[in-house]
Amino acid sequence: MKDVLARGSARRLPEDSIALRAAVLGAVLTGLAALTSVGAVSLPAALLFTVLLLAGYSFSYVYRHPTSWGWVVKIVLTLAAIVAVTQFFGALRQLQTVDEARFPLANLFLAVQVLHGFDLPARKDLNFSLGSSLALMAIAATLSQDMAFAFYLVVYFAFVMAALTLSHRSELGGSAAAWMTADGKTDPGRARFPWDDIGRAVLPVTLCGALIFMLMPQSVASQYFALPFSLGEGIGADAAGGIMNPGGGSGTRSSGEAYHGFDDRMDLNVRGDLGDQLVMRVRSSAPAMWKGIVFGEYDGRYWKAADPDAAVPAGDAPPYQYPVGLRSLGPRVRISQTYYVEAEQPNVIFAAGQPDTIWYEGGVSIDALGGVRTPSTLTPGTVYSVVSTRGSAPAEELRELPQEPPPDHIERYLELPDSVPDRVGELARSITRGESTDVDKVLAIEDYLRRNYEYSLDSPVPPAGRDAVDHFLFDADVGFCEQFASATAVMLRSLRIPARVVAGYAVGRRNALSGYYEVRSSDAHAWVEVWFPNYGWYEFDPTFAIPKADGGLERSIPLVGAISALWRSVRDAGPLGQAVAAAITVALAAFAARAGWRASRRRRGRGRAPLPPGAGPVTAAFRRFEDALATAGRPRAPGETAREAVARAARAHGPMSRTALQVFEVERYGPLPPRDEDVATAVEELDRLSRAVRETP
Amino acid sequence: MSRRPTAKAGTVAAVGVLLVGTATTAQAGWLFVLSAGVLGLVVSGVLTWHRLGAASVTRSLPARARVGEDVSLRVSVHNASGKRLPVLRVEDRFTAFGGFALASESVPGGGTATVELTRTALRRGVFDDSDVVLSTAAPFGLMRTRRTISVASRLVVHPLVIDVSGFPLPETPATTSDEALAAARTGAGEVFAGVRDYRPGDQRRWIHWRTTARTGRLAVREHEDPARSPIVIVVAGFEDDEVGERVASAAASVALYALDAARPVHCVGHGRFGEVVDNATRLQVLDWAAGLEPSDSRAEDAVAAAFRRWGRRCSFVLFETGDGSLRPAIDLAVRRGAAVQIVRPVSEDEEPVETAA
Repeated sequence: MKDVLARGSARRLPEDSIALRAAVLGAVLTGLAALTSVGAVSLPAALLFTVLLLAGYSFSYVYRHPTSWGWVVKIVLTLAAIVAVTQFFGALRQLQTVDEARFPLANLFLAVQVLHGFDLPARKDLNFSLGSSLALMAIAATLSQDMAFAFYLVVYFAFVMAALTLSHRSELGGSAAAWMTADGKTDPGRARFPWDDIGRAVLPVTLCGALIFMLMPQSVASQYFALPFSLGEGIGADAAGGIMNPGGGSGTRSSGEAYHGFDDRMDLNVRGDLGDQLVMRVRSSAPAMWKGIVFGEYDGRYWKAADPDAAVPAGDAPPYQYPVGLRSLGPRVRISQTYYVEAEQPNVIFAAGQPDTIWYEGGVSIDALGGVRTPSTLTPGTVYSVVSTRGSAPAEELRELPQEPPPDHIERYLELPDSVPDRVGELARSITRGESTDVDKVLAIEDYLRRNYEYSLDSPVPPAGRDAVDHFLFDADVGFCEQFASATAVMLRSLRIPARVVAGYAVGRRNALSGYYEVRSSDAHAWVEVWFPNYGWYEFDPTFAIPKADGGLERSIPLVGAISALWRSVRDAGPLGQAVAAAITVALAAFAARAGWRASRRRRGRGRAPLPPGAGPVTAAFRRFEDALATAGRPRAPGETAREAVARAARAHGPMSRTALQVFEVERYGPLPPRDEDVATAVEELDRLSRAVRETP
Repeated sequence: MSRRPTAKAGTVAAVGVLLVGTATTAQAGWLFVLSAGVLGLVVSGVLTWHRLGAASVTRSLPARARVGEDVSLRVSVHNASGKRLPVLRVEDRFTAFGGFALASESVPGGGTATVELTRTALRRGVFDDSDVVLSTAAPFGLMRTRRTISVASRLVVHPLVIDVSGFPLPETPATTSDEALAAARTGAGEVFAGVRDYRPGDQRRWIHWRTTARTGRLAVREHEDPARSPIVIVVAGFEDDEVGERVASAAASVALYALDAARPVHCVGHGRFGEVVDNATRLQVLDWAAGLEPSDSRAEDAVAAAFRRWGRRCSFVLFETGDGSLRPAIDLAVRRGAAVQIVRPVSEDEEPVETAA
């Protein structure tokens, strides 16, 4: 056993580079710091791991040469590794979700790093350690939600680039008899840190990485959904009761902190801006509207949510299933979402479309309209997941649906108060005149509102007793999402098409780096759901647009998305903006063409015949002289001998000794190489002549 | 020039793709960034252009060395381009030293990296142009560019000269009798050696009249004999192996010993400096021995050629190598009246020189 281990060690050359060891250790410690920052490793454990890693790397360096007792160390490390793996499997048994395995996995990887840190005699071992550090960063990357991870990423890649560069230098110099340097000093290369080599690589790596990221398809290839958090001891507590809106004010002005629509009733007379506070991050397989509350009854000023006392518990423990009776049918697209609450939210579950399955640690109830409620408000730090479905039938398919009256339980979505004047219905009929199907009527109304009404958060408030929709349609002509959605729903109801208003958040801004949708207070929104026979509820947004679930290349490939966004902004910029964009495009095209032409010229220059075999420095210097002549527009003629070319240049640019040419001829045609001192003189003279040729017009 | 991704590039790329798959499944945005960074390392490494076409190498050496001698040499890498050459591995395949590797720091445009070092001449021979392989995978070891350059330089490595004092240099039969020797020593040469008593047979023109008058006895002048028979060192059937090396060493040693014994030396044997070296100097003997190479020529052909060239007064030292079929050559030499000494290499434990009549 001892002999076998000793032989194994002897085959690997000990790595002497402290710089390489330090770079690898830096990468590992950065991975550890990243894991600590996302909470996968506790701070005391991180400190312990740091001390052990430092000790291990120091030990490995000191005892990098084979020792007679090295086999003892290997046996001890093997036993310790067995203990670490045993603990890992023990931890796995206590997990509830696959996702939770990331934490014990991170600890296992760290334990392996520490143990391996005591056995890093050779460069190959250090390369393995560097590769393992990537696993630490990968685990941290799956857990990180904010931009702080960018710092760890930059530091990590700095260490990785340094380690790879030093590893390559070590590989080159490992068996080399000596290092060659431009100043002629022997052997300094082993101690030199390649700052310049690493510095020159930063820009190409950054550009290549950025380009690859921009071109990388980031669609969800797998529909497999794993719960990315622990449910703990999920309790199905009763969630009955009204909607609690933290930060919600009263009166006709918004508090600015929370959307007033997140309540048992939505007051169409409230006005005011909302703040830009980050309220939640959503990891979702597709962009969607994050619906929270469903409003069914309209009374001329308020939209009312379902009776809180009628909410029914969705089950005893998570996961909770959406009631079958409320489910929509037909073609549906699945959307998996996980919500990370950053600011306190109402006691409702926000979800895309129809929340089929809900993983929430507390109890969940379903109200009569299909809204999902929780016993208490969603506090910061709350995490829950939902797998939803959303109707995906295209308009053509919806047009084919039978025109039949809605079932009894949908009748409520046709009711209108007496406050709605007849002219609202007349307007709806005039807008949809010529449209035979429900979906075309919906689209016609959406289009009419977008074209004829302005968006403003501070639209005029209807006078007391005046129907809010009628005031918006016929007097104000200005409104925001609530007015647009309400007008659509009311007009559709007047056409006997079931419709309702829902409130929640718009999709928010997707952080391309973290992959999360960052939802802010100002993303609070109201839109419309329309019922279609057999297929159930479909979302429409007369204010903006419902994001497509698939999104195509624009969503999955960042570069395509960026170009599309740029194109849209140019398209919407008006004539002046388009003129500026066109000028910039022309300038960029001209710059690219010029750069291409220059590169082509350089390539033609490089395409010359290579230097002949055995060509020495003087021949190379003569080639530079020929290049200088060509650049100056006086190239060496095909029949011109080297002596004639030099004489021609010397006549114009000063004398040149015959020795340089003789040395050139000796080097080029002689049986033995010229003397070194002659070579140096000849190279110097030819280069001087080349400079003179280039610099003299 | 060749460019090829290294195994490390494949590994890193595979890890990057694996991360992309994981990121896609886990919907982890930062994992996409991490994988893009890893793949960016690979792509930038693979796209790195090393410009080895602009590099040239020179090797400065002394003209001659002896086997086992430490040789000082200088190797330079010159960058003829305007851009920087990356850090390089320089593998010099100069066989005199058994090949060796150097590493070069990056060389600025127009600059030269140089190193002076000492290598031991490992084997006899004449070593001309040899390849130098430049390779680099800078900066990250992911894409290797390799270029082989033939570098002109020559080193003649002489064989070891061993002490062969007492080696029985052969004499031609015509010079082995005392009478003939005495006759030869009384006037054939030009160099005055002394005076001795007259012997019957001495010619009258040799009489030294002043001494005869002073002593009253006939005395004759005595001259050195320049016509001592030349030694022809013949190496035939040379094989480029360990035995051949010992033969080259022995042939050079015997030839130098003969020169020390004031015997003219002619060298015969196929080599880099021709088949025959006439009246060789010490340096020529060593160069000839250094340049010995295998050939298909037969030993008797070499001996016959030597007879044609130098006549009957040659004494031959035949070095037997290869299959030992020297008998026809020996018979030929003896038939023509030449003295022949045969040297036959034996195993390492025995004396390397053995003589035969």
